[in-house]
Amino acid sequence: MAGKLPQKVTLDDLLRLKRTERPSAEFWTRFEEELRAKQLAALVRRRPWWADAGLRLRTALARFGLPLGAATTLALAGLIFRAVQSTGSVTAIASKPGAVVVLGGLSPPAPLASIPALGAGVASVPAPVLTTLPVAPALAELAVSTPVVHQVADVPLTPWTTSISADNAQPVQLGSNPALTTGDLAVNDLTPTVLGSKTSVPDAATTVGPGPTVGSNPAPRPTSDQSVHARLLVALSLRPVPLVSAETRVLEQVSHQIPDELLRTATRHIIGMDGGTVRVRF
Amino acid sequence: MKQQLRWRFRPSFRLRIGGGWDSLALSMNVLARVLSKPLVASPERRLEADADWVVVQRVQAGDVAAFDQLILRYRERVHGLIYQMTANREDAADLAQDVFIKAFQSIHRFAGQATFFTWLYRIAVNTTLSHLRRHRHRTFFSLEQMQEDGPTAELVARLTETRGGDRDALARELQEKLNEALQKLSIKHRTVITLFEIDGLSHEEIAEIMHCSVGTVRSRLHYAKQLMQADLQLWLQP
Repeated sequence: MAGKLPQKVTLDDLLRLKRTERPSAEFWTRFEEELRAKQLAALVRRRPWWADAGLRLRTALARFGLPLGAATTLALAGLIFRAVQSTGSVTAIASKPGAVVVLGGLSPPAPLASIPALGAGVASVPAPVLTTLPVAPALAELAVSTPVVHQVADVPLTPWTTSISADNAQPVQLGSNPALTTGDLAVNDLTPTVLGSKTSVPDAATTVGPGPTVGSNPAPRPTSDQSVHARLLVALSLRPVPLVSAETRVLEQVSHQIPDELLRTATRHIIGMDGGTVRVRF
Repeated sequence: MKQQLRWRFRPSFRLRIGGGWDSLALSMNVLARVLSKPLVASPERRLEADADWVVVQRVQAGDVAAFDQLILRYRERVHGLIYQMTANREDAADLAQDVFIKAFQSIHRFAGQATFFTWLYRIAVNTTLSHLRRHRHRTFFSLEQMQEDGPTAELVARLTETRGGDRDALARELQEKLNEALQKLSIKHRTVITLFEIDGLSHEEIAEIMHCSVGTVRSRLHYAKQLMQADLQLWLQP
């Protein structure tokens, strides 16, 4: 037996001994159990934030990119809309040659009695001051020289067509009701807006009350442009005059009724800052 | 400086290739395909790699239980590698479990460019190296029992006959001396000699696992053997 053994032990022979160092079968049972536990722990354990920061950044950009742009566009559109609403009326009016701007809140009210054409019944009514920006001189002269009836309420108007708004392009049909009065004109409760602020013009009807009517003395039917302008000035001097178109007025009212908090909440909801998400996919 | 280098580099490269940047991209693709070709040493290893790839694809498709097959197939080899490098069975068990967990967590990134065996061994080696670097100053042996088979039993019997004494005590002493000599090597030399002499990998596979050239593997192996022979001189005498 000893003669068959090799004479020299090599390093490879010794290293072969190392291969025989093996764990027992019980070790592998325990190994498997511990591995299962570690696998479960690894599934539950959260990775540190820096491990997948790049992935999170990309996900966040992809998630908020399009809605953020849409929200920004929406906000910009809203701001532009509001800005146009606040300045557009003045610029639109000022650009028209016959525009009239009511500046009742800016200048002290002048008593109607100071105007020679006013009657005695309305002498104590603080009338809004009319300032004619680019009004034609002839029209301005008419405002003083034409003997018109300044009646606060219940002024019967004849059913002819007249222009109330500043832009004469779309004449307003007051209707065929011959008993239409200036009180009816105040139903809309439209207050003139100057530079985006509401001016509080005292309502002549509530201030003075029913005065002497001229129902028994109806105004003659105008036969010329001069009389049309005269009636127009009567209407402008007795009640606040809407200076913008009806559509613009409605939009303006809506934009003023939307509170800023509601806009902020809607924007926050769209961009997902309050937990809600909006995903737009193409 | 960078601009100057780029300016000088472009014309010569175009002249040499002659086909513009499209030809260069084509050449680089071919080169990358050649370089990424898996190094499979033997037909048995090739069959093993094919079987592994099937299981890996199942795991990647969502069959998590299929990963158990890979664990059962490689747990002894991975544990043996780590144990030989650390000479501590508790650390080896923990590290082997960590290796399988890491492999499970990142198996979706395994694209099959290398064999799964090589990929798993690379994880094991890197995990062990980082562990050894963290606990560089701790040397504590916790050795496994030697499971003697035919050739090793003959070797122990011959050494006992030559040196005299108790057989079991001599075998235990030889085991300690072997582990001491192995632990005296640097981490890289220990890794190379473990992979080559104990796990039986080829030079090419070791080079792929350790991200170095085959020449470096041969050089490290030669140097490590020289050191171990010098350290185990008493046991190598006839």
